Amino acid sequence: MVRDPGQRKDSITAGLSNEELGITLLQRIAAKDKQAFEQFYFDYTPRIGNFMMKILKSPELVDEAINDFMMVIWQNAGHFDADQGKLSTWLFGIAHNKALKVWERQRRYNREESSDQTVLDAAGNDWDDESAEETATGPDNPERTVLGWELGDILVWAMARLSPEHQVVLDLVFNQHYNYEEVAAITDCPVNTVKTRVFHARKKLAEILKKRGINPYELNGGPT
Amino acid sequence: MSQPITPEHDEIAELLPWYITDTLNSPEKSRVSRHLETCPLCRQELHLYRQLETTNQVSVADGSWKPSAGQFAAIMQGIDELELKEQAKTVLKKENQNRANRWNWFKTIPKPVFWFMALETGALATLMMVLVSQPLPYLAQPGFETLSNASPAVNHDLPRLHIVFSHDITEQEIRALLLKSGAQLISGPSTLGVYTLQLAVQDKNTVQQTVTELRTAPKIKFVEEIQGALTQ
Repeated sequence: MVRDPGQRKDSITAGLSNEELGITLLQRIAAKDKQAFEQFYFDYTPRIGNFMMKILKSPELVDEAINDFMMVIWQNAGHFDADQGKLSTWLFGIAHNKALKVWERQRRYNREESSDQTVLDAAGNDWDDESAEETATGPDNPERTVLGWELGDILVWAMARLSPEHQVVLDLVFNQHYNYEEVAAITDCPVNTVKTRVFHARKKLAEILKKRGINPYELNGGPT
Repeated sequence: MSQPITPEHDEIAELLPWYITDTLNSPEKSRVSRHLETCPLCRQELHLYRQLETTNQVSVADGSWKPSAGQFAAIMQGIDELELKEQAKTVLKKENQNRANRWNWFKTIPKPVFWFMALETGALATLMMVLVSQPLPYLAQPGFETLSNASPAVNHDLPRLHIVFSHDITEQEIRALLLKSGAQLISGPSTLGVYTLQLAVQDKNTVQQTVTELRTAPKIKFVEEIQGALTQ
């Protein structure tokens, strides 16, 4: 069973917030405490791993990225500075970096393996190919038409057509609830780039929906 | 819908995602709220962002990756291997540092002292090589003396005698007898005090004469030629 961060509190850490718990755990890891490292793995990687899934789309590639992520935590736990930002921001920054590296590695590998020059993502999806958008069918049932889909299905399908960069910022904003400064720290970008990236992600999403004959602004009844 | 796009509108539109997640600071939040009241375009955008927020929370990727004990064990194994490599690197680095320190120490030695030490070391090495390559004269000589000749002790072609000396005979007297008879001791004494002599001649008469002479010597109790010695 996957534990939530802070679920397993011992007598030393009882009464601390999740942030404080995490920092205590990190301090123990910095002192090479393998038990703390194990607790960190089971407490934090479910969230980190699912975030990486947005970029990598494959559990095997996420395994690889998590290995790299955990190695960085073991070696650099002592480098975390609470004055510089929240623990989760620091962790997501490392996770983002490691996932992109695995993604890039896999894309290079796919390009070498594939004789055609189609731009493939790490999982082999051609997310940036316009013609692919035209012919793409839904993830669950190829026979279903777009108009027959549930609202959630349409948006999930459309979001899966976005580039990993766009998916990551949307996840960091809407799922992880980071403010723009934190997203900038995680993705190692200027704040304005983050704002523009979210804006373009929304714009691209609207285009994908329009190509399917759906008015994005009328979803779920439109604005009230 | 036909409201002009102002720089403020663009700025506010970029803040809408964080307005929804309630992560804007207070002044920004108020600015967005005020703008939304008058801007139908931004209200449209806000609606789409709201749909995105709802969808993201039930996104396909959520829960599709889970940690496992097997993966953690593999991570720990990787870390152990890495640490072993790092330990080996540290040891090597320390050795190199020590070597560098020794060399630095050499560098601090004044030049005359350095060259004197170098010459001294060279001389010692040369001396050692000379000693090793030429065995010392005293090692080539036997370190003991006997009453026998140093030449081959046993010659099976020469006649031999059993002889028993009286208990008061001296070493000088034995030596004189052996020189006179041209014999040498080749073994003995046995538990009965019998020695074996080997004569230098084979002539039977001479042997018989030597035996006779030895029997007449005052401090010899017994002399007998060993029969069959020549056939051994």
